[in-house]
Amino acid sequence: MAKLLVICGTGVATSTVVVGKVRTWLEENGIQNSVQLFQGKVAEELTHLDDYDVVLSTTIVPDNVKDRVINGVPLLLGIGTEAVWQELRTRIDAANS
Amino acid sequence: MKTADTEVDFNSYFSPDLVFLDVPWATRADVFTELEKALVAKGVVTAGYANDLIEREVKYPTGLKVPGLNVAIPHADPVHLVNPFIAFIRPLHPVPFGVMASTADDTLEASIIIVLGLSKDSLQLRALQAVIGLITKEGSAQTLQGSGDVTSILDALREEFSKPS
Repeated sequence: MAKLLVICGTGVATSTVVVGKVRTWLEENGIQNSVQLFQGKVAEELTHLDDYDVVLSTTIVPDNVKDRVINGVPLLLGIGTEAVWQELRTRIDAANS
Repeated sequence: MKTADTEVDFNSYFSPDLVFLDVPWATRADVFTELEKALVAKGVVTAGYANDLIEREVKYPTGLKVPGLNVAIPHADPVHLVNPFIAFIRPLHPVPFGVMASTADDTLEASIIIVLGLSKDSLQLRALQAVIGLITKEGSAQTLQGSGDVTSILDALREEFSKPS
């Protein structure tokens, strides 16, 4: 099962919106049982990113982890979401293969 | 109309004296300092709130780009918050803000600044959903950037914030 982490500054507001959108998307695609969702604060999770297969962030992350992290702001706003869903799908499939 | 316990009534968070249209505040520091003056005079925050916003914005920038509109939604931990509020600021000239979740040097010119002075976590979520609903709504860019009177801005805010989650 792929582990997907959503992080924001406080682990409260923006990440909660994104988690909700991701959950809906997983269900719409019938893959909710192949992904485990986690939510947290960027400051606490930065050293644990390797524990997850996919990481979405709605806040700035340091350059050294940028490649590991997908920008979640399009999901927050509901604008330009398609590219993010595709990227998510690719990483989830890779983790579950 | 009866509201459930979990519903929040944001009506009291808005007031005409927290809508600042076409103010000559040129930088983030200007915006937060001038806003703090108004908020302190109103008894809504204590001195130090502007600094909280400035520091928070450096760590976690809040600039958002939506079609036809650049917005910033500054907020801070409620250390200096006395009463919750939501302030609407439309600077005379757009003010640079960092872009949310982007690189440290990525900025946008915010023409609208909505400051969320909220205390509880659940309210932050509701308020955030309302703000996003407002700024991504068809026609909003025009209303928020073009409207000449405080009442129509307040109406637009209250309408979106009164929607059930």
